[in-house]
Amino acid sequence: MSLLGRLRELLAGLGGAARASSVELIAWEHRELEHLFALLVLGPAAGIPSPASVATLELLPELERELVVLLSRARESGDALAELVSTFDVT
Amino acid sequence: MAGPARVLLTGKGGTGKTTAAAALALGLAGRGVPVLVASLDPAHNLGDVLGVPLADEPREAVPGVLAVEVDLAKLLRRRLAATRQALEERYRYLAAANLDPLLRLVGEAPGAEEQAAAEALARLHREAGRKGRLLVVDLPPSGQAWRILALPAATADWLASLAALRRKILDRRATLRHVLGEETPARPPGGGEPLPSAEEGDPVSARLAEALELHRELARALADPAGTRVLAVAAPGDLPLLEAKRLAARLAEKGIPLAGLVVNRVPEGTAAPAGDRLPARLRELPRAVLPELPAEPRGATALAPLAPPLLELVGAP
Repeated sequence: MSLLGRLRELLAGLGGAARASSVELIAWEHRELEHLFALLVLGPAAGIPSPASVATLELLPELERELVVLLSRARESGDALAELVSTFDVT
Repeated sequence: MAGPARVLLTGKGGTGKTTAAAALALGLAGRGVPVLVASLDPAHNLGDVLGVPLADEPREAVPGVLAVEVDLAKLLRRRLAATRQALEERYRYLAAANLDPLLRLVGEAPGAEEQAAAEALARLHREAGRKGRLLVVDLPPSGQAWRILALPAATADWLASLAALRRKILDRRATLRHVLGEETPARPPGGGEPLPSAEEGDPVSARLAEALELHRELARALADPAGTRVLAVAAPGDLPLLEAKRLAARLAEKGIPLAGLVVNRVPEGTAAPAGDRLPARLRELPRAVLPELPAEPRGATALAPLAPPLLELVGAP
């Protein structure tokens, strides 16, 4: 393979890696935003007063996913180090 | 229609808010203005004063007057029951999770009753507008009333923030779907149809927008001095007047002007508290002075003498 070909391959590999890591970052941000949303809507359950808990109550039937994410997050919260290591993909 | 679209009455407990609300409603109907009169005071006696049994759905108490006693506790219970039923129907993966404690917490949380009252007020406001009726509301005593009147704006702000956060989530989902296609993490647990990634087709955004609109409409209406008259009802004596003064200050903080003062039960032959006998904040307010009647007025005939000063105060047509 010519030098130029190798260089192209290398660049493509680097580009792919950068893309994968930005996608991971967006996925992580998406998950965190979902946590935040669920926490704000379900604030009273965590002792956070909400000025509109009665108004947001009707969102609850549509928030199954957010609740699952939140509950799994609560389960994993005891292992913060593992969460951090997996977030930054440390091996 | 000239004059206001809403009149809200509050004041110290026992000063005759309900009596004034009922007399005003009857007076307006007597002038051919269709009225929806509602009591949001948990200690209802609007039906007793009008002399007609009322329920939590509006009914015609006298010709031209629709009246309702809103049962806040029942309203909250109904909301919680509807949510519980919707949860049972929709949740597949959380069927085992017990969300009852959460629902109970929301229902019993401090402020839940004020929130229910603010929402009931927003719905009454919408209903009166739709039916082309002037809305007269007998609010709870001032301590609770000013919190209820401050809530629509606060609730609208809160819901607008939630809607903005929701848009961010949908935006990230759309990006992920664009890059990853079917591999997107924005899938419901256990697979199934992908989650919505645009406001159209997102039921959470739709519900948020609906609730936001409801509260925003009322918040705007309350801050509009041409359409809304908030009246403080007081009896002669320092304490009710001091409470009216505090009410005026607290409402002013929230951008809701107090439009007038009703001094109720002024004995015949005595001068109503006026000028320098009134707290400074109340001195400039338009006033209606209602006479003390020989007996507690109940029913249209007994209430009639109280109507004219109230009609003048609110600028009724």
